Amino acid sequence: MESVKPNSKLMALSAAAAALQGVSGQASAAAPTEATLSYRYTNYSESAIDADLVASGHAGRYDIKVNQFSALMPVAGKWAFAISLQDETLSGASPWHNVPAPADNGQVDFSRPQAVMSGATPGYEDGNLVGIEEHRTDGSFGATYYYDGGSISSNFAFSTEDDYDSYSGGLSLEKEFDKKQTVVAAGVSYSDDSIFYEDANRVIKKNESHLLPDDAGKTNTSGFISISRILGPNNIILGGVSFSAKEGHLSDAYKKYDKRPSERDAFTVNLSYRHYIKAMQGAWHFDYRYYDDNWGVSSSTFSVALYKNWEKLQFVPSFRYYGQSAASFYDVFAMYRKDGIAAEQNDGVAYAKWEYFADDARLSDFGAMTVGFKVVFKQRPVDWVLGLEYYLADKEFLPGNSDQLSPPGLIEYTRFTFGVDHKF
Amino acid sequence: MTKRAVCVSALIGLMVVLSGCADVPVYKRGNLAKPEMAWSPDPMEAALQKHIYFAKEASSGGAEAAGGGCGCN
Repeated sequence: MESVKPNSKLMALSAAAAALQGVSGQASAAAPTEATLSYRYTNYSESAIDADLVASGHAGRYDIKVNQFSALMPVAGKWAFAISLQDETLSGASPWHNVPAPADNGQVDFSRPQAVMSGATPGYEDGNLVGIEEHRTDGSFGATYYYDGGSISSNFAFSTEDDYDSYSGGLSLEKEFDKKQTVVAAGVSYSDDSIFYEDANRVIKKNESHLLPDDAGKTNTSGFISISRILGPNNIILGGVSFSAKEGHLSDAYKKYDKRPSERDAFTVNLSYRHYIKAMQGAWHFDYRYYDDNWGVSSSTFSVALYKNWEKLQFVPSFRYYGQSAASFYDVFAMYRKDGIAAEQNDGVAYAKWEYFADDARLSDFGAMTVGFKVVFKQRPVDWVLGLEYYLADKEFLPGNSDQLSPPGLIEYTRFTFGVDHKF
Repeated sequence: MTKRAVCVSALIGLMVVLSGCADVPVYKRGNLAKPEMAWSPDPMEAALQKHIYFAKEASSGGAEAAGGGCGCN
């Protein structure tokens, strides 16, 4: 790879989650009866930051292309094997840190945060590479054994990038009760990640406040339990809880002022409901998730989608709302004191507001809305998929007031997906 | 731990409440078996969305497997 990217990256979560998707994804613990080969191509582009919110660097943000392949193979009615591969390329810029905008009197205006961007893709500044040109490959393998009244699954997943490696594994169980009307599922998983600079000497826009050690890494241990119950001939409900414990170097290696605690414990509660409407030949999907962690972040996510069949077509309009509180150590100016002394004019770290600090917009309080529309052309045995999605994050989407200023780095993107499924 | 205990208690309570639901005979479960009634009808899209949201938001996870990764972008 010819460039060094001053911003990591992509990850393995999707691979691990995909491999175990079937664990809690069905109304019963029945083995699949068809083999399925699937492909998806996705492109999503983040909108550029408004020029008046950028202090320096390029306003353009990420453009991401993803190729996904998967195969599901039932064997002898008792086994199912799943393989997935994903190849992802990413280019663009992202906020490195925030600064107050210049004021007319030669001072700075703390009411107007601006982002210092990481640069263009890939580019040079004083002979050093900046910008982001990233490539990630991940894969997973899962096996499920079905027995009368339940199933047991295991999976292994990996993800590799130029500056990030991740390996994860999981084990889960499903058990049917009450004449197969109730399914209880539980699982555990573990991941071990390594973080490193591809060429540290040439990456100039990296973390200067919490240096990346040579053996940087982190682990994530998690578990979940869920229960689903048939409520009637046309409706079913699922509730679940999950816990995760992350440990290690959790600071962002490509944010200038970013020092986070080395442990993060989180739990979620989720509730899902599916309702089939015969007259409409379709199904409503309602999902809710509550999240809470020891960094002070709590969030609620509501999703609704309608799967509407019309002859050989299926239309899927969807809407998602997400709202989160800020991490306790987040501030839009992580390294500036209110007296106007810039960190660069001092020794930087000494002027951090707290022991831990970050100005990453993703740790701020904000809301986000997603609107999607997908069409599936069902030409048995092949289904063609076209999808479009628009995502917008904004502090104003969060009910209530906050003392925090809106960060310049909140995301807006449009995603396009094309895909095909072949069942046989 | 208190919050976790509340969550687990809520789940157990949900199990108790749901155990009182009326039986649905197997021959009436045809609609429940339709693909559009699955918890995740398109696992690949769901995996990608989780990946994207993981990278853009501070929350992640749910009643499923967890994984590692930076999610820095």
